[in-house]
Amino acid sequence: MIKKLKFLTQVAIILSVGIYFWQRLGSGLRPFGTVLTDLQRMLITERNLTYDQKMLSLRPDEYFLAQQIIKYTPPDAVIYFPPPEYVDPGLSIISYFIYPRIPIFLDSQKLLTTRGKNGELGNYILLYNDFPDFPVSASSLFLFDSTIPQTFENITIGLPDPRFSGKKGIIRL
Amino acid sequence: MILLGLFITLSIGWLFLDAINLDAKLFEKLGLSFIISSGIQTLFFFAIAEQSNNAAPRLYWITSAVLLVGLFLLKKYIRGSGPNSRFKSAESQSPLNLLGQLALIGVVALFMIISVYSIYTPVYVTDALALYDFRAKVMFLTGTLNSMHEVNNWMSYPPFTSLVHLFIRFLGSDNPHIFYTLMYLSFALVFYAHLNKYTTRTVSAIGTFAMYSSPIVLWQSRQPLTNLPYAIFLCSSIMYLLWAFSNRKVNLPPLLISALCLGLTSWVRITDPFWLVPFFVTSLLLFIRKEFLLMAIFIFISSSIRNVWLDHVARYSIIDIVRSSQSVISNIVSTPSSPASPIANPIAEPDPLLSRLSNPAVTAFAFFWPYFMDAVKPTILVFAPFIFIESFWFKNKSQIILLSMISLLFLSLWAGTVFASQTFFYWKELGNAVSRLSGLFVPLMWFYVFRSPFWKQFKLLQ
Repeated sequence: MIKKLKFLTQVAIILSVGIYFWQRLGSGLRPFGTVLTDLQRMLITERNLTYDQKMLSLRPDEYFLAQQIIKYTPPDAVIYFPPPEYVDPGLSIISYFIYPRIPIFLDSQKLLTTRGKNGELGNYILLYNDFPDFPVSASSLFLFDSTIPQTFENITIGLPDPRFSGKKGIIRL
Repeated sequence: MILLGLFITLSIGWLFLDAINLDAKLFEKLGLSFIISSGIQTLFFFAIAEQSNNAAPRLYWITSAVLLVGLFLLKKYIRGSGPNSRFKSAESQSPLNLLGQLALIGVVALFMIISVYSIYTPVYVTDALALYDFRAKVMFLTGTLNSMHEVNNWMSYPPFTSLVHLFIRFLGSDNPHIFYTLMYLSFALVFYAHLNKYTTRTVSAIGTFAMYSSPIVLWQSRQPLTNLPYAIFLCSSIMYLLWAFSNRKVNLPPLLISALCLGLTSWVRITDPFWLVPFFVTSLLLFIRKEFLLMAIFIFISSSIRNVWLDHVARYSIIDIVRSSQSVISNIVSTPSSPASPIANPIAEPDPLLSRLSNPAVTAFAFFWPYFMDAVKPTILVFAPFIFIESFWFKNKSQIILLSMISLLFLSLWAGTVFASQTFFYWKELGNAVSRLSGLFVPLMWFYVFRSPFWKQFKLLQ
């Protein structure tokens, strides 16, 4: 009886090893094709891509936005970001790209008196997903999305405004 | 410069292993040198940087030089009173047949493919951009250690990964992926050497290939996350613990390595409960053997490393560390950073069966089991029958200890999920985190499977 059980267990092991390899082979062949394509891309066709180009393909939304913010703000800028209901939570990683600029993510009260970690007040606001939706007196506004950079000076912004609705930009307070 | 950093890292680890007189072969010493040296270097750098709030490149070179000289002198001193054990080993000297050679070639091929991915791809996963690499970037640009406090939730994870990334920036690169790829290869060397202590070289090679090619861990070896270093430190701790207790007399050098690796798990992830398993098993075994001095040494080493980060957080923050973990986790899980899971998001589509289960333990189990299986499948297919054959026929004491620890680790994961379900309102969003964390079971399962005498009956594997 014990011998039979031992034999059955050994058969079970051999079967499980067989199933394992079958399963790995089945799930491994398709990725192997992908790996070959990736290797060709990384070693031949796209080997000379810059960091910017790679990041724009890996994190297109966040990295493009970060590049624009960097372009239009000085390194010591403190920027108010929209409350969570306006932004994808993943947008918080933009802090990494725009450092040393400091983002302050507003809460639902949207108070422009909100201070950063070290007590700093914001001097910029991110125009994003129809935010800010309250009147803001801006010394300037730079729109990101247009092919020709658009700048507005001394303007009061309060969405909805057909000129800015659905656009992204940075507002200097 | 990166090669110089690699040389320094290996030298520090090598000198440390020589100083404690570890009896190991060349490839095991190389692999282990890399693994423990990354921990020793970051700990020492942090201890010095904390005093001066300095995180400049000069400090990296100074601390490296001090470690090299200090360990060299320590080695000289200890060698004066003990035998030189270099390359003495009782491991299996059986030949490596074609199957084994193919398995090792497979490991090398996978390593090279993963290296291409690592070198090519910049840091892009959410967790690294939000915390690990961000802290490194801030410290690098400001040259101060405490500037990492500027990063939101800085205290939620110890700075092991961030300091490794910082060192890599000091060495002229801002891409830390290759560290994780090298760490995994190092672990494969250690894994092979440990299997080889119990079985033939061919079986060890096949076991190493099976472990190395496991999808979840292989994926983690090209991502700058804490999961892989954590799993490597924990698994190494368990493997050296088994070695330490393999004879009647407790073997001191492997016990020291086990204690160090166990302490280093807390240097990577502080809130995970898994370290408790090797901690209590080792303490219990040492207590039963009445090795009270060794028990004190083991507890001291593994616990003191744990306190390094807790003390720093206590000094600089009054915020509850667990609470901060909650917020960083909620950030992290909200954006996918791992391969798409086949499991639907339970928040988006609430499972009516799940909602009917009122018992928290059952609810937690029903929740985490699919994620756990997602990570360990198909390894568990092979592992499961071995539990039966090992427990009822071979009855090897060391295997029983290993199986007990795997079971206890599983219970820890379950208990942790129950705790999360009772504490965090968003606990059902932690599925991806559970899946990634479950990767630590994969090397242990393969280790259990390939240590079995079962394989000795096949001539093909001799």
